[in-house]
Amino acid sequence: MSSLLCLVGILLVGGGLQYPPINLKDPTVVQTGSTIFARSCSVGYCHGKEGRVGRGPRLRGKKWKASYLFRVTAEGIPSSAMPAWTGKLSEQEIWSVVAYILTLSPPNSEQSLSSAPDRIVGARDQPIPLMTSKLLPKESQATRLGISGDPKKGRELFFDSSDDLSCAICHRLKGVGATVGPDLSQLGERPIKEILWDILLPSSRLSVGGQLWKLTTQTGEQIEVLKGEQGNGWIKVYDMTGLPPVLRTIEKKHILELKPQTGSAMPGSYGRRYSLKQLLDLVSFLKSENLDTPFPVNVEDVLNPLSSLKSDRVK
Amino acid sequence: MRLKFPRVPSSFLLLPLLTGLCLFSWAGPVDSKRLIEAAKEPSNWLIYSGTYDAWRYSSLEQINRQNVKELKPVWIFQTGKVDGGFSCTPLVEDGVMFITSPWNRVFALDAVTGKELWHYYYPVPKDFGLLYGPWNRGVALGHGLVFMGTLDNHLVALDAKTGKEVWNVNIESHQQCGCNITGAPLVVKDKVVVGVTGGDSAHRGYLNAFDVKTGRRAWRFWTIPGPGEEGNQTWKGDSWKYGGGATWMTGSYDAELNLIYWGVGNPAADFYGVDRAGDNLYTDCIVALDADSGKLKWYYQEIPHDVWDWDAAYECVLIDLPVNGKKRKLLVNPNKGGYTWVLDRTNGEFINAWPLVENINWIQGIDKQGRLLGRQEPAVGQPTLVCPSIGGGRSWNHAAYSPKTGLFYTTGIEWCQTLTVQKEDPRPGETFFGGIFELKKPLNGEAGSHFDAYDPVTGKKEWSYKSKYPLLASALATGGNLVFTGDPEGEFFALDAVSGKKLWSFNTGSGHRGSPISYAVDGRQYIAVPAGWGSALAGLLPQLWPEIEDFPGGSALLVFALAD
Repeated sequence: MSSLLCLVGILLVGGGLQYPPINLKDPTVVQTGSTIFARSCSVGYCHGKEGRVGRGPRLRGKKWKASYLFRVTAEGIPSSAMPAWTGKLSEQEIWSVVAYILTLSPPNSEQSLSSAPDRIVGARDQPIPLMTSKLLPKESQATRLGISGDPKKGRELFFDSSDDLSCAICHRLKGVGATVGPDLSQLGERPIKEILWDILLPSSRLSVGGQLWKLTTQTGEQIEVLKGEQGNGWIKVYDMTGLPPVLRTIEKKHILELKPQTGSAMPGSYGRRYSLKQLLDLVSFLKSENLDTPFPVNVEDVLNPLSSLKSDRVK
Repeated sequence: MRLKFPRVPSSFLLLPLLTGLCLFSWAGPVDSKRLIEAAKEPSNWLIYSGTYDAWRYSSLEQINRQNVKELKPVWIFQTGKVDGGFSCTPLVEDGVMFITSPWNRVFALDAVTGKELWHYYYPVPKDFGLLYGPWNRGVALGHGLVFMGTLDNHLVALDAKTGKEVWNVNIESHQQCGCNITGAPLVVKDKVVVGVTGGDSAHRGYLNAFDVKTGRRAWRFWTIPGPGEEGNQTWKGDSWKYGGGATWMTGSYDAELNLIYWGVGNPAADFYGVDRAGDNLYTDCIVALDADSGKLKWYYQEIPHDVWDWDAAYECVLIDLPVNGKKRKLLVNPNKGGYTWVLDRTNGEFINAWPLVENINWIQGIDKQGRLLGRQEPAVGQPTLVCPSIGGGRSWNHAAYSPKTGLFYTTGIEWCQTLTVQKEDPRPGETFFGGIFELKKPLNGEAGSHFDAYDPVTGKKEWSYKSKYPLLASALATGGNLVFTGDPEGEFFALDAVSGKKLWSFNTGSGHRGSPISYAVDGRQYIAVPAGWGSALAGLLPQLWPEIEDFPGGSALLVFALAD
């Protein structure tokens, strides 16, 4: 019987119906949901204390489908103030919030699928950590050796709003940052040496998009730019002369000259600006983002003759 | 720009015609001089607050207390974007009106007919959880450009004639900071100054100025001082990194002193202050910055170590008035906690603070040196009754000052809340309130609202207009001795500025959350107002008035005039 239920469950999951991996009536689950709700949902102007009306719709005293609540909470509502909570909350946490919201309504509200089994084989119930305290064994060795990168510190460097040359002024990572330069969300897939190379020597491996141009207008204004979109009689360029970069829309007839420059728009000064520790922090952060677990990079990884621009030496 | 001629009888045509050519020919682009002297061209409304001193006063007097009952709608423009309410202040330059709707849409309209001349829809990213709300309070004009701050923390400059984007700068990734722009920018000389939200997020606030022509950042003023900077020691440990201090409204400018005045919002986390022990500069401060360099010239902190979310971010109204027989240059700032501060704007000296509501329990009073007496700080973990509520003794909707009556017109709201403070750690770019609240009626009496006329220095109340629901629209004062505002049920009305008597009203069909203005074209005076219910507070009101949950949204710009 249980294997039949499992099969049914798997089919339902396969059919796209969201299936709670936990018992929505379990008081512990509801309590967890209540705590998360108070911290995340009723804050500020959004859903009000205990689901009272706020800037967001009133949640208490209404009939809800558990699957609908899960979907809206996990995916958000585009073009609205309701964010997607996937990534901020684990799947289990979102279900516990659903369980709590269901208690805000009269007892005959639907709590769908309550007769089904509590668990589905293969349902994900581990939180997706952005940063956890679980350390890989090599961290302690590297720490003993003296210099090891800290992904948390690397994140701070990447997104340091007080530094006009911080990475996020031009780059984006997992949806956060700017779109002037390339998206770095997948950068962590690349070998450590290659990442470090690109940070320290940006002009040596230039992509077409990174080509810097000197633009002179008919009125004599001269700016260094990255080229962007073009349209009927106009071109968009990123003025890199000052920071943050400014996206200018310039009519082609106003352009006197557009001359390619040698070198990347990305400054080659990071070797001077950052200490070795900071560079390791940054690379550790970039690697960790891609792997979804902490990946402290230490100086051994960089100096190891067996690693290259093409691959890390796997320990 | 069209040449416009005054309407005069033909027998007097020649001399007035020549005069008319001088007066009504195209006045040139809106440059620094025109902005500084905006009061001299009452047919236009060139700046968010009307003029740099934020009086929201139009000296036009064609519409007056005798004929206002004849005021009729002449056109309506609908933006189609109702979500979030209609919060803008329209601007008018030489017969062209500029408005913004929620979701960063800009419209240029013929101010006589309401016909659209152009529109610009900023490409707001679709897939992010919007911080705060989708509303926008308006644009800034200057040097042939129209400037708007966006929901993803960009500042864009558009060509005023065509609406085409000229430049666009990403001020800081909105996902990174949990901040964006909902207020109107301010053009000062060759720069455009813009604030930021984020007072309820784990963010370090700032005020930025950009070169109007190129969009290059000219200066940045951090509202939270960094390590080594004066004032950083007023933050315990690392709490300065996430200190809030948003500059989410629009400041003022004194051209003689060359000072930009801006109100700074609350420290983050709003209610949980344990981890940020200290005075928390420059939150809840008025800051005076050198307009060219952005350097801090003086500051005045209204509320040190705020744990109630009492932003000082609202308007800075600049008035020169006698105090104890001596004429002083003043700055009047209504604070969210229910008091209005009066400062000397040359040096930040405290002059007075007076309450604009009755239900205040977070302090007992303010002494002659500006010190807060009897602070009632909410305890962690247990519900505390705090008055006023998070909506404020007054919300951001602006006051007006009339030099004719000498009176300061502002709304006030009587209500409270139970606040439960919770320990919270900062998560960069995420909300950081440190507590939850629920609206409550005052201990004595009903929750409600009023629109009052005060002496701006002493706070002596001259008259009061009572309203059932919180008044959340700005005031407009005119030379015809009228004050205009709107209410949540959609009634837009005019009161006698001297006596407070209601002289006219019109049912606009949806509640008011924006700012009325007055302008003129071809010698005919108009009153324009955005009508459309919505906003963060609009969402909260049903906690006390359940019927408000069903109030309809809207997004209509209505313009009124006397019969032709």
